[in-house]
Amino acid sequence: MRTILYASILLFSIGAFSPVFAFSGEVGHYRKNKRVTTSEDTTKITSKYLPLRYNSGQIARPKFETIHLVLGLSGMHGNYSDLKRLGVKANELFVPLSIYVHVPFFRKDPSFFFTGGWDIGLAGRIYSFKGLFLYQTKYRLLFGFGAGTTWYSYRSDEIIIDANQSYGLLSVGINLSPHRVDLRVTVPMSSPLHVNFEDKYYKIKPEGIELSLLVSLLL
Amino acid sequence: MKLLKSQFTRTLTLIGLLMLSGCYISSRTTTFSELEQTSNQKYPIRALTVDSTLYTFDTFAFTDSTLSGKGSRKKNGSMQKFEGTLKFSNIVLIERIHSNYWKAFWIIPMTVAIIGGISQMSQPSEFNIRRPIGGSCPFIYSFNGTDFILEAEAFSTAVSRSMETQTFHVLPSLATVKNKLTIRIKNERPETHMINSVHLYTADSRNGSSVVLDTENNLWTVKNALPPVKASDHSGRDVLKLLSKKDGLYWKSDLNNMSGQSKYRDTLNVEFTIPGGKHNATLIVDAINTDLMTLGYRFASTILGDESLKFYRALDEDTELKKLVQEGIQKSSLLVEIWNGKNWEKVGTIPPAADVVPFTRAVRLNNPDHLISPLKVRLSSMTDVWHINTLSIDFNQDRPLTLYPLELTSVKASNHGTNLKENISKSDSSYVMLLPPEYMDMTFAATTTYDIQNPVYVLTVRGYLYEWIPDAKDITAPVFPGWLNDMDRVELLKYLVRHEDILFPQVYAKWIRVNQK
Repeated sequence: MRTILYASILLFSIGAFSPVFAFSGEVGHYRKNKRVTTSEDTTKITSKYLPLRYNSGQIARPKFETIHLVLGLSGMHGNYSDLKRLGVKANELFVPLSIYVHVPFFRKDPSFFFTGGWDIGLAGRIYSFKGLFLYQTKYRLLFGFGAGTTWYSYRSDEIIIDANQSYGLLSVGINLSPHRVDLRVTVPMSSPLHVNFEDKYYKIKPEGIELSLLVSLLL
Repeated sequence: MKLLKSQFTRTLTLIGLLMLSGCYISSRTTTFSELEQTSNQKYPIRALTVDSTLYTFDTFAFTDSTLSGKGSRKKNGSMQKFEGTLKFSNIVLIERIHSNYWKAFWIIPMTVAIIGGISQMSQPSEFNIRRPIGGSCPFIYSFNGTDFILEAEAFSTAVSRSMETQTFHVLPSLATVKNKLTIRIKNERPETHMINSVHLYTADSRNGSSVVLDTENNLWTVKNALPPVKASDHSGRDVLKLLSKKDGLYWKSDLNNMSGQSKYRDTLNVEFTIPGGKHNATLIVDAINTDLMTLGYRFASTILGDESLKFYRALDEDTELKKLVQEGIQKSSLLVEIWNGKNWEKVGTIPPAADVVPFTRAVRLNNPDHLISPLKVRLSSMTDVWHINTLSIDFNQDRPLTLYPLELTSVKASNHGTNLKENISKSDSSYVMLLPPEYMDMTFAATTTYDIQNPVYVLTVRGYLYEWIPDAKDITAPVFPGWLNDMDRVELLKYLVRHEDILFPQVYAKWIRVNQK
């Protein structure tokens, strides 16, 4: 039930805020209701540059064209101590490759954007989808929330373990280079899954705390 | 399937066309040369003026201070046609609009991936733990006062009614709770389990020594088990370290060397030092079986197809078929021989017992003439049925422990409301049937009239099972000479069991594939 709620909120939010739908082809303003003010002395004609007026009003355009691809590398800590009895390592560090899409709602800082995509474990065993709405302050700090779903798989001669779970996400981070490099920590908010196997009780939280370094390709 | 295929092709075509057409992107234009280039390439441009009006010029021309052209004008959501001139000094932004193939290359798959990811979020959470193939036998659990602990597997080789058997199991975790002992038998496999009788015995382990059952189901105390001094397998590997310590590291068959000279047999040669004056010894094997037997049954099911029920009927009535299956079980059993100075002499056979719970079995060596140091022991079985943790020998000269029966007080099955005590208290025609995931809990009175200081418990379970026919998705049809296909399925199976040269390569090829997965 909770997973349906997460998915619905995420879908609604993307529909409501995505520039593709909400602003398609339309000019938007960063400060939409304010009159744009300009300074005459900035319209100097040069031989090379167009003598455009300085955009002192910070007119910004939430546009479809500003969506870009983000690649990254993450480190995720998985605590599977309850599965130790089955031969699983109690603590594991996964290194997933992150492939995300960055959809900014405004070009300028502070900004608000959606980012969503997949984390794929380089050694297999774990992969996840995450969608986040993030707010970037003028000091380049990032805060946000979202939802994710993670698949965990363990195979050995003796045992096969499969788990998948959807959950809420909280995220904090810092923008290291404007519109280019982010460092982010995501914390899943989920309760453990339980199963009774061979009359013993086992629990698992497939997703753990993740630290990601993400680079926007600006393509 | 055909429909799916055509939809998939259409989707791919659509994605391909979208990618070919590219995605429109905008690039900011800040210099006269960029503007000129855009004009030459006949790309449209957009211009945003200080009063928040967006102009789109399909065609345009420019001077040092103005931009003129034809297109549209949009402000506050309303769009109008436009033809005219704008001063650069009133424009804050100019963008050229063009298509970008690279963006189309990633944006379409990523859109699909994101929609797919969001849709996956609505899937219910799942958590499953299972064994790779699933073997064959009811699980026996002991109640230790807090939890039910998985201890053993019962009658694993009794694959039809005619092969009903009784197996003995030591239950080290069983504990007395309020003068009661509780044991659970549970079906967690795709099988039908028929339980005929269950009995619990107790014995006094004297000084609290560990105990072991031998192949004759005698219970022996183990005082000082010694590891071998030499050990090698049929591949010539030195496996002494693997077999010396109970550390969870198992000796496993060398699957690269299973055909040819070994003829699908594993062999272990070990040597023990015998202290002087010892006339009896207990050879102890700590091991676990693989799922190969289960795979064998499944393989048989692929041959039998919908004639599996006929096969089980035949197994009850056809003595030749029953004999063939028993021979198969014998081949998969662990044959224990000792060197008597002239040749190898058989001293015992341990049948496969469990593929989930590691178990311990012993062979009692009672021939003083052969207990001369170094004692050479040979263990052999069908390839990769056995994984062996340790081999050891104990020179306890005591007699086997006496087993005292404990009273069964109640039997409650998860699928049955009434007390089933009468059904399993004796071996008769009355059975308790368990289908997965059903179980039955048996309670025994812990108090006895016997004087027992250090109680140990032995459970006996009599019954049989039927393997279920595997799902079609789990079946890979075997490949045999065409002329065999016209044979009656049961006769074909009998023929194949007699002709290992045809059967074994296929079974082991499948086994290697399963292991590689």
